[in-house]
Amino acid sequence: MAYRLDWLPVLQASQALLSGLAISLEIFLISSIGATLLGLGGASLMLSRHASLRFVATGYVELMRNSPSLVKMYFIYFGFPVLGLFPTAFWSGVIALVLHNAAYMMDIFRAAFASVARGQREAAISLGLDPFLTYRKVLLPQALRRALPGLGNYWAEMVKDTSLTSALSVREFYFVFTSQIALNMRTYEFFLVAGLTYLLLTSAVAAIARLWERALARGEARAR
Amino acid sequence: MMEATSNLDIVLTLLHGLAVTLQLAAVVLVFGTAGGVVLGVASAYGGAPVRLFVGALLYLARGLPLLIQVFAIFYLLPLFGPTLDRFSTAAVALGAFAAMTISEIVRGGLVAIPKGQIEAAYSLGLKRLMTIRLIILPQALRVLLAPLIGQFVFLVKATSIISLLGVPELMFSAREIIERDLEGFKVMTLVWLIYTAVCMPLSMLGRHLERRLAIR
Repeated sequence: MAYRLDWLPVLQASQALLSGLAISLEIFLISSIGATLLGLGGASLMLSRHASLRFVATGYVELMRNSPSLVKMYFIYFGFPVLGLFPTAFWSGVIALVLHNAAYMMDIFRAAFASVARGQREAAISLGLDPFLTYRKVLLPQALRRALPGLGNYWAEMVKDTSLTSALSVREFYFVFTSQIALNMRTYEFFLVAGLTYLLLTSAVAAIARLWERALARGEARAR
Repeated sequence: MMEATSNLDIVLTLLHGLAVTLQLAAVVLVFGTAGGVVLGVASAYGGAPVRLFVGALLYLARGLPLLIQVFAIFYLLPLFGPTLDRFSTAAVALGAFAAMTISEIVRGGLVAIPKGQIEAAYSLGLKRLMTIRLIILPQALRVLLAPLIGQFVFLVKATSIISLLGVPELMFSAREIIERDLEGFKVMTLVWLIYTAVCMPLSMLGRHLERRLAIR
């Protein structure tokens, strides 16, 4: 069976592929920033002095990470209309990815903050820093450095998870890729292009997380 | 006018889907673990070429969306291998992914054991099997058991992706009911609870093991 690679269909589809890629990147950026910030906020709840707040946060984590993110996407997209809310497919996907992945980020940040030495906070407060500055200038940078390897993993996961929004017919990269194959049957060419694109994106995200971690580590070393 | 599906019908349809999900998960976990142990041992002790080969496959398994990997198997398997039904194809695709990711966990557990211990065991006259049973396994299990259970939870959830390729598991059944009756809120609440009921005991076991086996 001879299969001759023919790149013309890919070139002809490049416009569609690029607009799909743009939507995928948009989903990734909004959902990863959202999940990271929500995770950071949630981690404070998990480390709170109040048992009730800790209970709420732990319950949230359990509720989120014992089911696929696809469940949350369908829940929002197909379930919210009962409540009189009609989110678009795009926003259903984004919100589901934020809520789902924030649970993992909470756990990462919780462990990271817990590992910052107790004396750091006490020293900062005894130097006269207010609680906000202590958090912003002393605790957060150190916790962030410890959290970054884990965060980087989940950011890479979230790049890949953007493809799940195709289940709601969001016209992102994976959706365009499969519909192009259905259209012109140039399967191998499109697989190669799509595969390399995703590998490039996940590798880039992992690399950025590593570089950021190194930069923070340098800062910490200078401070010593 | 089509008659609306009763609550009982909804629950029964979902449980039917759950049965397929559990079957698929069982096959994937069993074959994925078996394959993962073989690949993990090979890449821990097999020398640089094996490690590079497994490493390259692992890079693909981790760098590509699972959806695209599964789609590739659905497309390529009939061309180069046997023609299987959708369930079996899904089992092959997810099983291969499971084996790759589990191999890395197994490798991590094995390389955590200092080489000197194995040499010491041999020099004390222990046979190969005894060394594995008495020296390697107890220590490796300590390191890899908790991440392995965590990966099991991930894999059970990942079976939901197969709904997009037409295997009638839990998510597929849910979507079928929704498209017929628009009972999205009710159906997805149930599906959410069902997945949680399946996965939560497993994740709790994983965390329990993590705490108990932690090396202090």
